[in-house]
Amino acid sequence: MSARSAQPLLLRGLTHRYGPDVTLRYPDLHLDGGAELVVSGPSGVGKTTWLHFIAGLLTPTAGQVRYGDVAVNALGEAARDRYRAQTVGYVFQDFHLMPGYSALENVLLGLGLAGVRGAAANARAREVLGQLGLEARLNHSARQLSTGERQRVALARAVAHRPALLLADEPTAHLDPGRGGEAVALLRSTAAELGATLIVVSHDPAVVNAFERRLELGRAVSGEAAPLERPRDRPVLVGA
Amino acid sequence: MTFWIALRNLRTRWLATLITLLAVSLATATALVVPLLSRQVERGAQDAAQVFDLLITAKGSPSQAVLSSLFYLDVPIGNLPYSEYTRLKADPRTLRAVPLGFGDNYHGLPLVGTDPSFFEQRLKPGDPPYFHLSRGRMFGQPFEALLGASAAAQTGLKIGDTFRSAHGLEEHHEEGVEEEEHEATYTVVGLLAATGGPVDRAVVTPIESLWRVHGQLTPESRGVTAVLYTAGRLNDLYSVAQQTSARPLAQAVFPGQVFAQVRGFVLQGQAAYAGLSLLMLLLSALTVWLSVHASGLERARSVALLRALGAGRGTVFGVVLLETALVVLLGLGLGVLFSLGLGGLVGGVLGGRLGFSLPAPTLDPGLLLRVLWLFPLGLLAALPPAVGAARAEPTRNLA
Repeated sequence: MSARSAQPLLLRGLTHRYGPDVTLRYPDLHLDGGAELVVSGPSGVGKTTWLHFIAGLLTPTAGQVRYGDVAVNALGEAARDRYRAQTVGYVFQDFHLMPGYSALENVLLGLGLAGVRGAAANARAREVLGQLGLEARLNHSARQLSTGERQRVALARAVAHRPALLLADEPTAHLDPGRGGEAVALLRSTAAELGATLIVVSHDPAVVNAFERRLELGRAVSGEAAPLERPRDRPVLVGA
Repeated sequence: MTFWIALRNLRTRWLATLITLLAVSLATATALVVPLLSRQVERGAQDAAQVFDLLITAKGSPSQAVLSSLFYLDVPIGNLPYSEYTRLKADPRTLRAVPLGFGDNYHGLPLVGTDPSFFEQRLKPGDPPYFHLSRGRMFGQPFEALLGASAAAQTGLKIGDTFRSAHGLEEHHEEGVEEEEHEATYTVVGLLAATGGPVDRAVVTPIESLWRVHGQLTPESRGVTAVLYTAGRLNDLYSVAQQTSARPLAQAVFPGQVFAQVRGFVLQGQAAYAGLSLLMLLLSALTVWLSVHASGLERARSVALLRALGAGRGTVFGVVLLETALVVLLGLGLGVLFSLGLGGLVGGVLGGRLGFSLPAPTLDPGLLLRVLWLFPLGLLAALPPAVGAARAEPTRNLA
């Protein structure tokens, strides 16, 4: 199984402003297609927001997110929806499985929105869930699954449509260290198998240390008259 | 995909879906079942009475005249003198004057005294006779009897069997009330084919049988309860009706006019019922609205997730609207089926009691329109949350 061929990811001059007082400035980044990156930093620094920019879920106040030839933040609404559905696979911090849907239906939902439907979708969903050891839990709803199983269903939904860009937000937040290690290994092996670019946001040192390329985001700047241009602590790019 | 998602969302909120479905279907059935039944009774009664042109009885309530003489459901007003019958029969404008006499029963089945001209009645000139034998022969002598199809089935009497009638229109079951049985013995000589009308549950005999049983042996002492009258020409029918009603002892009643009057009363009742149905429908619309809005938070999260996974604004708008549309449509469909089923069931029981067959309940567009407005109303209730879903930013409700 191979992903849509992964393209280079380029982030340039990203700035985001929350009201008049808080401004986040992000470091520039160039990531080759198929590369791995872990992003860390203290809470509230804007890691999830940064990941949302890449996923096309949020538009930065200024700056550019470019995936291959596509300026993601300049895309129209419908094109951005398609980009999210087809190019991006996103593993949410709280998994966000659809309530009441079975494991299989959660994966079918992701596939359907990406345009894969019918027998092909069914076969693919079963294949991915099987690869993640969930063949016996296909028809169980999220409520009936353990935390680890829910995490794997979320991963299956994120990768089933063979995304070129796999994004994971704190994938080990709800797992014990042993399970966390397994989850990260699963993410990396799946991304490698797909040839997809993998970006993991985590504040867990064990996860951060497992990656060769690391990006650490600094602290947000807050104050009464913080101008947009006011720089925050310089983010540190490790191993870039 | 929209349909696929909407179905699963409804399944997830199955309890709210079920309650809404029940509210819509019960309100729909409530709004439909009484109009359906009253139309069935109306049509059944008209069908059963359409063979009779003009009914002539003693003066009194026209509806009582129709109910007692055509449907055997009420006490007759009284007897017409025999001379009124002979006068009508001798009138040159008369094609047919069929005498009817009541007053006795056999196990609750009315004995209808008449003469062979009863069996010459037709729906239209040129049509075959409306009443005809399925077995046996026409009565020829007093105390020979023909059994209607239901009467034969109910009593188990066969051709050649004999029975004795009792006085009164109904059988008495009360303790201490003795059945006043007549001495004369009737013999079954024929069975009538089923018509779906009141004659099916009657015992038809020559009117002389009743006169003899009640000691009315001379023409002066005889009476007839009613005359079924047909003139040779339509104009004559109206002139005979007018002249008859002008006489001191008789009245002429067009069954169709009585039905129209009764229908007027029924419609007044139905107007009050329609008001009640409207309230029920509004309540069910409120249930739809509550159901749509009560699931707001849960919906906000699932909509955010759908958007995050790449669903467009149109898709989430469609999902919310389709969920409501499906529930309301299904509720309406179930309500219609329920009302038709209930109409058929109650119609059967009611028909048995009234003594004539009620046709199967049928819906017409006018009746359907009474409940179909619930559909746009339901969609209207779902519109604000659907617009809200379409406008929601995916990251707002994704922690």
